Amino acid sequence: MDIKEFIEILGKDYVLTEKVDILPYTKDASFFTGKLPYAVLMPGNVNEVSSIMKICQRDGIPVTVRGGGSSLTGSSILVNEGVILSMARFDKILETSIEDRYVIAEAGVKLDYLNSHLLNFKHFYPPDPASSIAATVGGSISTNAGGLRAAMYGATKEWVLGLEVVLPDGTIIQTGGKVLKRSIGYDLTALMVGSEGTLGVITKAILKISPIPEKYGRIMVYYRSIEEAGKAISSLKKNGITPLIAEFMDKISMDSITHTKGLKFPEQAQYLLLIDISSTEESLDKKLNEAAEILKSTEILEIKITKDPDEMAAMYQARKGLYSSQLNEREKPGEYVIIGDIVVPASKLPKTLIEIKESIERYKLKVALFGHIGDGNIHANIFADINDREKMKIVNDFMMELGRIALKNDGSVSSEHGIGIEKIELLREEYMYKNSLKNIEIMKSIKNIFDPKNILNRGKMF
Amino acid sequence: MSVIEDLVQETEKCINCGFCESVCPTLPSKNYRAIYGARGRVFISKESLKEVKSHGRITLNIEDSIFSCLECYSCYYVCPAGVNPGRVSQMMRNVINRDPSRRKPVAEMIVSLIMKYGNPLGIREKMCSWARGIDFDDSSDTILYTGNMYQLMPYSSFLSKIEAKLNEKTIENMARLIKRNPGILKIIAIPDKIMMERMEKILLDIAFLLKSSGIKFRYLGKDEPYSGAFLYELGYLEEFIEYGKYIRDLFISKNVKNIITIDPHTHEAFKVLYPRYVDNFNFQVFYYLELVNIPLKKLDENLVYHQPCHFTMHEDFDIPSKFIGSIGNVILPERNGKSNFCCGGPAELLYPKLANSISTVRFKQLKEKNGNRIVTACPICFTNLSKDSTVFDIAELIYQNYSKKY
Repeated sequence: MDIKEFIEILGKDYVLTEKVDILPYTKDASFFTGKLPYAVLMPGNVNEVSSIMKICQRDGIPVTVRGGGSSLTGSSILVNEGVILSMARFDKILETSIEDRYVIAEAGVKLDYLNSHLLNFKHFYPPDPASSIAATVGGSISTNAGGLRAAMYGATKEWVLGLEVVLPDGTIIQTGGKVLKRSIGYDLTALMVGSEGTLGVITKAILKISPIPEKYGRIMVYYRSIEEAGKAISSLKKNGITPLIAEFMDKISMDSITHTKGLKFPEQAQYLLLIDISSTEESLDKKLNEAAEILKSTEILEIKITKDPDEMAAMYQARKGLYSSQLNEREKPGEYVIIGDIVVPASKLPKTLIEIKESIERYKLKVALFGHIGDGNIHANIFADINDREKMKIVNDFMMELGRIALKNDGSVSSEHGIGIEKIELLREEYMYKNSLKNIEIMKSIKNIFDPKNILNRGKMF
Repeated sequence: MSVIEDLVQETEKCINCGFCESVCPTLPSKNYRAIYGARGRVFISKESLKEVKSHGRITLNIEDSIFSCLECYSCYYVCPAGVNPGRVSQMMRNVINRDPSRRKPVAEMIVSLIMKYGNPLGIREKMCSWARGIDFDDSSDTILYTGNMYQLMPYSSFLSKIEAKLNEKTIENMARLIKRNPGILKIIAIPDKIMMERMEKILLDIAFLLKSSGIKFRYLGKDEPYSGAFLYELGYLEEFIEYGKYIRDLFISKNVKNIITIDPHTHEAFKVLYPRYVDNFNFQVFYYLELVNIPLKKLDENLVYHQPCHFTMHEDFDIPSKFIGSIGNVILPERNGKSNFCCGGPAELLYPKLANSISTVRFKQLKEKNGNRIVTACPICFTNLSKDSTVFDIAELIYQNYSKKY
């Protein structure tokens, strides 16, 4: 590999080769450590990306694209040799159209920054992974990220109208566009969403935006039984109510919030559901009461309705920061909180939650259960020392079982974090369970068409 | 706990999520190179500590990454794991400084001048001219302590402008030369005259406001040393402690009981740091606005307030807002409070280009609020953000609006 060619394209300031400079790119937010890259390349525009890809394609240099480096499955680190393509300099919001309800942003724009911009127009981009402060437009599209608001708004795939993508041979393509509908053959925009940087380099996205809901209120409902907590969401949905947010957490999670934020919960509560209902100002009370009545049909311990902005903000921040609160429950600093991520249909939540609970007891692990229960997404966060091989073997076995529980209940092994390195085996498990291993063959064929030399994000997904 | 043990414990908590990186002011100004962001700094610190443990020394070139951290602490308040990357950088500087060959020559020069002359530029005798003609109460056990901060700014601003025009090697050679021959700096350090007049006027305003509030105090004049905050910030902990003892003893010998500070860096050093590291550093420490109590005229003005990081993020102290709110409407930029955006000032002497790049970003953020004026409460912020005539120090604002002045 001739580094000079990259320097000619980018200038020496944007080609990092010194060890101290490239070391941080061996880690993302997962517990994996990647290989040291030959170089970190930092293009500033699409033509530079194209030129880089032409060289990499010609010489067969593996390329892994990095957005915010917040992947939890190891998507943005190198499994083998290669270069890292950092999209950090793609940090501009290019166009905002309220009348046509879209925003065009470069791939490296952080999601929180995008939403602080849209707030000026009383609009927002709904996908809100807990890492939205660090996660980028490109990275969240690549993993089809979800978040708290997915209960009402769905995951990222619902919000991407079009993309600018650089293919491995350097060709720049535009997919989709500024309109909500089009019918022009295979949907390449959809194909790119969730492709984890294996098919092309996303440089720009046209994203759908939505007006900020006029008003919302919150119901906090506590349960003793995990099964009853699981019934709540399907009861609401059965009655035609789609919450804006529906979050679930267990006692470990509640305790961690009490320890870090000082918020108190009823002593006997084992589980909490936090449900936001949005509406117009006039009908909000009616809708909140309707939802509360439905929830009371399950065996609740306590229920509370609030519209107090301060109270709602404190709890929202506590939920958004739940992962951090859990980190404070670690027994020693080096211990990790490994995040499990599965999804099932709302109707299967009660059964799934019971099965997970039984599994946790069987594996004798410390696991915090919480999640975006409104869309059936359950996170099982496992406390473990990643240097303890024996413990990690148990963790891996538990993760496999967690995936199988999801599959048995008509769900999926990965809800919103992608496959990366972590879930390669689970991806296979899912298609094997569905007797559809052919899907992996089809995906590999597609990959081969886009990337015949397999240079993009090699070693991920399959 | 030793510095190394403290560092290991702090960095081991990191989960590499990157939240800190997204708020770090130095990262975009250094072309997004990861080692110039908070996450990168923690990561390479962790790697360097492994090196220290395994073969006793650091081989990675981490100095510029670690020394360019502004220690604003915005990273700390977004970290889900409770890591303070700003503190990590500050402690890592101490580890780096243990190897003399790795020390930053400019830092060495500053430290040497502080230790020798009680002033970062070795010009302590030039720091008290502002006070000529003021009638202090020499019997008071309370001192107005300027810490030389406002007076130093016209010099440091001049020097950083020169530095910005030179290459790194030349600056380092100059710093080494000055360290050996401090007299050179007295010749080449020419203050910006207009700025000096303004800084001296701010000091007069502060003295006036305190007197108008009925506070009796004296001033140590040419005996007043610099606070030593820079020693701590540059990772010279042992020197900081030694210097703190010198200040303690000086104050005791001069029968000082109460200290009125006028800037956030000095306030933190005297109120928080010296009591932590220096035995018997038992003085009552105030920020001058805690003592100012005068009627103020209300204006129909929008005042955009740039909060000093050392008040809002290091100390959770925000008295200036109350005063600004008494005069006009306080407008805060998007990045404020615990998510404040630094003025870039702490990098001014070591990395003037970086400091200028960050202050330009911050100035733009402040101007976007379309206020009538921008108000600062720290001489470093004031100097770095004074990019047009709308920027004022809080003492100027209060002085101008003291309703019984005439």
